[in-house]
Amino acid sequence: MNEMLSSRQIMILVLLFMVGTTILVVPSSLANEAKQNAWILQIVGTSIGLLFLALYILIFKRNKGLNLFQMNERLFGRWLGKGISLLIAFAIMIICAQVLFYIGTFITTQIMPDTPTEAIHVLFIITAMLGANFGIANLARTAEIFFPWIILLFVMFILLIMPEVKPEMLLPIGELEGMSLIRGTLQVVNYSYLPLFITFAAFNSTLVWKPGIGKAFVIGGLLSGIFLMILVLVSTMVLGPANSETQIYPTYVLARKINVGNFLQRIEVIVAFLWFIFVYFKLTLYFYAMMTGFGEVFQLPNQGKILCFPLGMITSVLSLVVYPNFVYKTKWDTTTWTSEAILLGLLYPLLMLCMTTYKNKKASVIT
Amino acid sequence: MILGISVFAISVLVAYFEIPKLRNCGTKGNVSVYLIFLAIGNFLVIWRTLGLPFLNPGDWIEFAMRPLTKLLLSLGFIKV
Repeated sequence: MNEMLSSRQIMILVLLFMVGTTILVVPSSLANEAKQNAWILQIVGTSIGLLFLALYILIFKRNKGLNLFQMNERLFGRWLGKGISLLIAFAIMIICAQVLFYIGTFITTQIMPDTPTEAIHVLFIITAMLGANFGIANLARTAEIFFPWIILLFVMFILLIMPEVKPEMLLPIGELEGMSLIRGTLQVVNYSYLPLFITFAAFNSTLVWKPGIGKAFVIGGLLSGIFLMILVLVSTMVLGPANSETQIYPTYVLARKINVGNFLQRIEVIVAFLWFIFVYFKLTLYFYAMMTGFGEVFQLPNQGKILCFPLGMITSVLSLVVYPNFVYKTKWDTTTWTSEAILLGLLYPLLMLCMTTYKNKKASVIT
Repeated sequence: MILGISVFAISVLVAYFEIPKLRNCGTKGNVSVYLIFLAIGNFLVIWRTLGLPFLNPGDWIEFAMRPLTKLLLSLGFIKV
């Protein structure tokens, strides 16, 4: 068993997964809800998200040694369990395609406008396929290597943007409507915390529940919250609430503003590099979960690693059709994704918790 | 079309290396599952390269989630 993950690795994976695509979407949608008070929503979202993490940790602990799809079979019976697993694997496939679309559009609109999207999607999915094929332990070690670089680049980015910061942009503080607080919080929870369950449960069988592991999940969640809060704060203070609301990628525009003494300019690619790492890990973790799902449903050896190539092919084709245009994407993300995330990240885990408690009680009565 | 054929050639190559491995460590069912997935992938690639209209799986999820979305919209938790 060389596939065991240490608590530090778990923390880093949780951090990378949570920041993932959230970093692209959330600053502008939070500014849309709460203008200059977007950072308050981020704090509230993170603190509520930690409750979700507690729920997930409880389920993971009570089903030690089983991955999500084995849990399904244990809790819901063989055939119903397989059906649910298949649906979840299919849903993760679509999510994978969407994440791929996100990175493809970002690169084609901001960095390489003349390159066809297909080329970027195929290259990116090949790296994700390789990552998933090497297994979760190797992925975690890679994350460990990248972690100091991420922190370094992030700190450098924040320090270099400091001369542009205008703290008066944050005033007046506390002007918040009740409903927009709920909506904004839901957005944060929705993009960072709710998809965590189906992804991390897929390799729950490789987790050894030492005392530090639960704490690692929480620290990862907190760190990602701090990370995003700093970004939202800085983007509000530099661009102003109205501007960060209308930009598609506010953090990237932010990095374009870096100008130290008319000399150090045009280093926005450091932000792009950060995003590539975040999105890569998010995509690979999703891909791994999907592969394990199909592998478990069809009972293939090695957690379905053999399906890596066909699934990569299907995902890359789907990524080209899953969002036909930008308006569709915005609508889908605000409406359908919210309900899908609530179903997969709140209702389904609650059902699982009830079933686990019931099964454990039944087992204890029999013995 | 050339793209479709080349992707098909690559998948034949991959299958040539993968199927013997599967035969050695598993049952016959595994090979057929693998071949079905590979066929779906190739079919989608060729369909896409021919430029034929594509069903968007996002729409299916939207259809499945419609009751919950309507509930959330009526509660004001999401805003279009």
